[in-house]
Amino acid sequence: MSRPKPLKILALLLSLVLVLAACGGDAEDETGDAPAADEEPTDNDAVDDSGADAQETEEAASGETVEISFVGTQPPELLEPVVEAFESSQDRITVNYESVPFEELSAVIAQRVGGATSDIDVYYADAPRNPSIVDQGYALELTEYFDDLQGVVPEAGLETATIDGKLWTVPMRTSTQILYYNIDLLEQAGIEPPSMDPEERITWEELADLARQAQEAGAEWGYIDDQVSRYYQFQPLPESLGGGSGLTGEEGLQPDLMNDGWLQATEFWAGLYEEGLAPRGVAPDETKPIFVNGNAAFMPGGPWWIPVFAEEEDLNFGVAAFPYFADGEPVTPTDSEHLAVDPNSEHIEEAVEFVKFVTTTKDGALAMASGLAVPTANLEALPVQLAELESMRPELEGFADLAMYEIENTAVPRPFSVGYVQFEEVMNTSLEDIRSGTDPQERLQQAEEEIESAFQRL
Amino acid sequence: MTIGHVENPLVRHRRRATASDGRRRTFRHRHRDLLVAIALLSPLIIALILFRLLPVAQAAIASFQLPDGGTGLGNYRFMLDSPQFRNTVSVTLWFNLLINPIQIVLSLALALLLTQRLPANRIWQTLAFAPTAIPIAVSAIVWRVAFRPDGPINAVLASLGLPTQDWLITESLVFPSLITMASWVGVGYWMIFLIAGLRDIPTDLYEAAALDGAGWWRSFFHITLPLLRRQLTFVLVADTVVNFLMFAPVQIMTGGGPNGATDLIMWETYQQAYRFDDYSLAAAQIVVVMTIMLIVVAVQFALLQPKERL
Amino acid sequence: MLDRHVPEWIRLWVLTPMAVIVSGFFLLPLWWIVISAFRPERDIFRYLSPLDPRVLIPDRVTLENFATLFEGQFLRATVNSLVVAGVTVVAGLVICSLAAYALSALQFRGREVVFAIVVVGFLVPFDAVAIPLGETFQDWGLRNTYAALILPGVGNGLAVFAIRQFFLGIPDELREAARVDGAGPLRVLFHIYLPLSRPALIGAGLVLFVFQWQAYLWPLIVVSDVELQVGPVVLAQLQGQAEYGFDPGQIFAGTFVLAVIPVLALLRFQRYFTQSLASSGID
Repeated sequence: MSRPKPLKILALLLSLVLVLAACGGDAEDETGDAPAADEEPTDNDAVDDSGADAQETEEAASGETVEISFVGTQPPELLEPVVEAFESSQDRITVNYESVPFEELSAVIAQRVGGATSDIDVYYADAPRNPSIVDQGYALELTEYFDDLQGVVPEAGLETATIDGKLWTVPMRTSTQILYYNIDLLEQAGIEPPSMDPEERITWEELADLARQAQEAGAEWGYIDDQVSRYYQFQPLPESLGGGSGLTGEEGLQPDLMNDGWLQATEFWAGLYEEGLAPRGVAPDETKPIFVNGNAAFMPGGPWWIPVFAEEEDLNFGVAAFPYFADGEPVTPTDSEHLAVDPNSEHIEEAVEFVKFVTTTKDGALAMASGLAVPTANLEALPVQLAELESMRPELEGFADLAMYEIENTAVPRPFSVGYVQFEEVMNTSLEDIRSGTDPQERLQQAEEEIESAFQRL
Repeated sequence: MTIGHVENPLVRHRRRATASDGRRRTFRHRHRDLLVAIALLSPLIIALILFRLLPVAQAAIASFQLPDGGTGLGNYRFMLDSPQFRNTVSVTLWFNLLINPIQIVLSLALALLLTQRLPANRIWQTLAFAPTAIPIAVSAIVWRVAFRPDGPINAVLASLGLPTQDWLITESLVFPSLITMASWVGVGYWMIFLIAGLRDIPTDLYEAAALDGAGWWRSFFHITLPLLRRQLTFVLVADTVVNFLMFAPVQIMTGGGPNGATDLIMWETYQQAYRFDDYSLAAAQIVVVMTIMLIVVAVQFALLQPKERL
Repeated sequence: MLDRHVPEWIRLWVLTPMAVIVSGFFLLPLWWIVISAFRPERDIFRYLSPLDPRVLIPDRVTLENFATLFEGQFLRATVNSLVVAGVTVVAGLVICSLAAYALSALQFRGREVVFAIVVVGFLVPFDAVAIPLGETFQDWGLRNTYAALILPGVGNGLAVFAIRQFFLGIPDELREAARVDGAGPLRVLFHIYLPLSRPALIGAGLVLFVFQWQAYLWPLIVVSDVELQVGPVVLAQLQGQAEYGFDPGQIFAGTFVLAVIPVLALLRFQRYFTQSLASSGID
């Protein structure tokens, strides 16, 4: 342990903190954020220009400016492009973005929107939580403000945004899943990479075989889940076998986990871990480093990892269509964040204008997409964004068509229920127990009981 | 540490002070004391009422509000009927029965070790304290990585030829793992308070004991432990409270698993309140946690401070 | 001290290695955090499996994580944390030592009961009552103020406990002598008790400081103004995107900054803290 060196660095850093504290005090105005613009690997030239001159026009805007407050779960840097693009698209409304950790979003919404503080105007609404948000009166009904959104956003997203024939939220992002593979590890095992053509997608059974071959040929893991043990990631497996989402009944308040589809899918998935093809005890945010560092042959995951993976020069990866069960249908998970407007907002008109800009205009949607590679829900902007992702590696040719196909044809939204949050929590815990070696059938039985018990509270 | 010649009279005072603690005063004296006490206590009491008792009262009232809009004992009945909640209570009690004595013994041992005149003593003390300064969520991430089946702890075990373990996903190993992590975070913090107490024990007592031929263990049991009682009580009570309310490590490292083995009560309450928006059930759980904690703390006081009563 | 009983050879050849080994247990995870703050993001989870010495000995060092971190809200948030914790410690020490004096030096009926209520009352899990308390603060118009961040931390049962335990050890005779000289309770407190109690005050200050330094849920609920956000909240925001991307480099860099400050403070105060009541009476 070399003592003097770290201590010196500590002292240096502390003095830096203190100096910055001293001058940071009156630098209230955050126009100084400009240098942050080139630090993010956005790779989206289309939007960068609009941000550049936003700076100059900002001061000029006089008269009655309205500031709306926007709450989301991503760090402010990622939202800067869309805020700047919106502010330069008109000169009446400015946006103050506030980032809240995802885990605490619903608490913050309950506290502020529920408490009628009217200090939020627009906020992120996680799609499957929509019924609960609407149920509690946290969202303004948007039907009268929006023309028909059919064809503007994906069908599945519109379905979750609409309750009782009324529009409550607007889909901002959507999602899909693809199968990533490590080209080097596949070559090493002499495996032909699976196809990107949705018609020729491989089955889960084939994937398990390939994973086994790759592992035998030296890969540390044959397979790894992106959001492991999360319901979102797992849902397509039982759905593919016709087991349904796990919730049935008119209002989605009846757990249904003991059917053949669920049991078969869960046992298959548990087997991947039991056999040691995939690692147990690794948390969802630790799985990507395993793939990035070349320690896993296959990983089903979201397309938002493409920019992250493409940046790693020594990572040779390709993508294929998401697998399905030999006896079942191709199914992919979908949906993501929507935007909602606080019913207590004092600037409803301005808030709606911002939501429209982000979700229904191509420029707005692309500006949003430039911060984070989660697919935009705007169907006009989506192909542009997907093409951009595809261009990051030559091996990705065909990815845009594949993703578009999945979103339009195989996407199945998460179940529609006021009890979704409770259901998801029970499912995540149960899947993690099953991954760790608990008997699938017994654990699913118990999960049903837990869900029933939790639903009594609704 | 400077021990000058001036200390001796004070130390003598001090020993007599223990005897004078319980001495009765005149009525007039007491009456004046009461008025002064009210004045001195009022800022704290106001803070206590506004920022703790009032919201607790609100929570207690909320605990009788039912999801269907009515009022009654329904939330409590729901909890008692729920096998998960019964598991939660028993897991919480077991966890505390294990972790509190372990942490007290460890911090005392650490305090004793690091008050020996060892080379570079302050470095060791500071290292032991430093984990307290790490945001608990980050500590939990670090230990989650350490305990991974393919993680560094198993790698070290394997290189020593020992069998590797699935630390956080095996029911019998998850408590020891959590206790290790929580002790890494907390033991150095509690050690600091015990060191302050150890420094406060007059040296001449040990010298006298040594002259009488008492060994290390006798001195420890007859001088150190009795004179450390106040600090130990403080540490025990405070540590118990912290461990009763632990949830971030559960949230990040185990999610209550495997199979509910670490479903500690505050994790359950946190989920009800902040994930499920079921505030009235969370409030009922808070009332239950508070009641259990009150009983445990009362027992600790009764056991450790028999002579402090008026 | 108890160490008089320990022979020199044991101290050197048994206890010192023990101290080193025990410190190693504390050091290794800390070291991992520190080097993770200073290495390229990709290397952070890289050499864990199979284990490689580079887990602990970085082969590439960079300040990039700090550069990225400091471009965001983090520095200002850290300053906010410092302000909140600093004011809390000062105000809290005043409030808690006044109360501790009343609960130790003064005699009145029900003193022990009041003390028990104070200690137990403050044991209320603060996170658990944050929701109703947040509503109360909103009614008072205190949302988005430093006051909202500071106030719930100034009263602290454990701080009172720590100070009172120390005060109880101060001989009555000292107080009585001052009283005979005509000193009022405040003078006795500030001129006799407090100067003697530096270790306890530092201990109590530590309790008050750590409470605010680790505060997370309450600031999140009571503050929406970006300008007022505190360090742990901003750190958690970096983690908030874990579903879509995870920036461990920035998180560890932020952790490093947040941890260094209290550690330096402790190093600074350790000298006083480890003084005994007796020796602190000299000045």
